[in-house]
Amino acid sequence: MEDAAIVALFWERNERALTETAAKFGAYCRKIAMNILASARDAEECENDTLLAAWNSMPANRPARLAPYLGRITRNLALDRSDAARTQKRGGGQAALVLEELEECVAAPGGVEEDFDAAETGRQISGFLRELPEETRRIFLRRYWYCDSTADIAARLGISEAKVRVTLHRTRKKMAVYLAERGVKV
Amino acid sequence: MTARQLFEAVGFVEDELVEQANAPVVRRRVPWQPVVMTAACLCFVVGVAGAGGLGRMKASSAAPASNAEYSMDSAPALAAGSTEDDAPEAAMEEKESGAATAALCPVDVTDYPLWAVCDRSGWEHSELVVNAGMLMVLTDADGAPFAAGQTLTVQADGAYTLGFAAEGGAPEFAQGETLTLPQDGYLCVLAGDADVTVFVSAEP
Repeated sequence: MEDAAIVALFWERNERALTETAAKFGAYCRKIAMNILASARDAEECENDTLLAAWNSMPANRPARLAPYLGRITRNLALDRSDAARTQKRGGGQAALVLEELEECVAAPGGVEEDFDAAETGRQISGFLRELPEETRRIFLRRYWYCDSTADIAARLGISEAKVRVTLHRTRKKMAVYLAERGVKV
Repeated sequence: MTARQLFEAVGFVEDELVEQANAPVVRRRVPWQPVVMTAACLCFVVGVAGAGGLGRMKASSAAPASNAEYSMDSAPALAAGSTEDDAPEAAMEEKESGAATAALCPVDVTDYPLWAVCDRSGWEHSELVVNAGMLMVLTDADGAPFAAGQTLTVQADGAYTLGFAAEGGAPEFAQGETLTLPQDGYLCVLAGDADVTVFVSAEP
């Protein structure tokens, strides 16, 4: 079923929207959650939470592309779960590693949360990513959007894991400079 | 800003980019015909340059160049005082002593012009490294610069690697495959984005 048809079902408050979404995007959401949480059970629960969140967020929203929309919900929910799991000292997903790497891009690692416009910063990051070669962009997004492990990225792209790590390191440094130059408070 | 906030911001990257990153990876294939034509052209250029260099070398009676130096001008020279007639023996001695003291460290030929690659490689080395570039190896009618029984093994760490030997040799070889370079032939390795290491070794 096409994305637009599924969204229409959501807008009609037709429960078939949930089964169609699960059939088409369940594995996709579960993979993202699994990357972050490293627990099949938690990933499955996260998938269900994503469906519920999508149900609640529509009809207020009418996403043109369902995969990134659902993926975005999943990664946020999974990160919340990961925070809770870390508090209870369990779980070994990629979340902690990803956040540790992103710490390199912020001016004051370990600093407190300030008011910032995530959507606007996301737009700036999109601009930055568009300037990168396709492979570099793919490596960056597989790591920081999909939270894939570096080994998975290397296998996916047919390159060495060392190359993935070096590329990520360089891209993070470039991104920090790019954002700072455009007045984004990092 | 915290790392967590930056993570959230990455979540707002445009949908189109996110979907592209999830699309199946399409491997670029190097078209054969242009590669063969380029290799043939390069063979000619390198051959002409090599012949010129050999002519100059024979005319010269300069002191032998050190095996440890890999400048453009470090092609094996004749021993001091040798004549053109005893050149093959002197060259053989030079080759043998070079083989005995073979430098085992890899030679990074990145960014060097092809003719220099051939020159710099020297063949006293057991290993060559090509990083994101192209390696050309030519052989003459005697199979030089390789001694009889020497083989090449090519290893690569990534995609877009292509190698072939021509003029009677294996038309194509795969990663890790060992081959004996033919007489009057050439080997071409296109490294693309990969790091390629060519091992030159004598057969057991």
